[in-house]
Amino acid sequence: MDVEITNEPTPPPRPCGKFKGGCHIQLVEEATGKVVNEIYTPDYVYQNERQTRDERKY
Amino acid sequence: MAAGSGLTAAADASLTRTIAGVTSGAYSTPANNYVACYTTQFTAAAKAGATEWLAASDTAYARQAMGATGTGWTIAAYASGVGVVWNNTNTITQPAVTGTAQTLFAIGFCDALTVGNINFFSDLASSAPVGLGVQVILTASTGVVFTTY
Repeated sequence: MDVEITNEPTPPPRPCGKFKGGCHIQLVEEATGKVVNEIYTPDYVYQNERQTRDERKY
Repeated sequence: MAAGSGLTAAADASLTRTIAGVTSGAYSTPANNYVACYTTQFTAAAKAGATEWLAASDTAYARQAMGATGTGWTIAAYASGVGVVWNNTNTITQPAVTGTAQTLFAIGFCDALTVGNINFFSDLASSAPVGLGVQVILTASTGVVFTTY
């Protein structure tokens, strides 16, 4: 028998309680100062693009 | 495995216990944060278990302090639709790799110079080779950006 559920919990709105971030890493040759690799981790968000990217993500 | 970022699984548990008022297993405020390098990911699912670089392999390797009592971070006020944005105040530079070349797959933020707890992390999407003589650098203000929301 089906049970009627009232006031069924809804999924939390997003973002909610998120704690995310990332790094912009530079790998630099010490002897020459040359940047040999520049890496952005997946959750890195430019501060000036933050809201736009967050909206896209959710 | 999917790359992740944020609190480690252990920090999820300890912070929850802290705000719930549970003393046992609660979070301990760190005197400093230390940046550590890892050869494997924490992953989005596990949020734990990454393998840190070893001084036995990269003889110059050591966790780098960010700044005591929170000075390593610039923490903005909460903003609606954005949350609390916080980023590294100072440039953090790992000594150039010496001894054996390394692989970088995650960055972790620990509460002690050695051992201790890893509080939060950021995985790379794919591993990056770090050759001899190469430094891992996180530039001031833009090297690390986290959001609590």
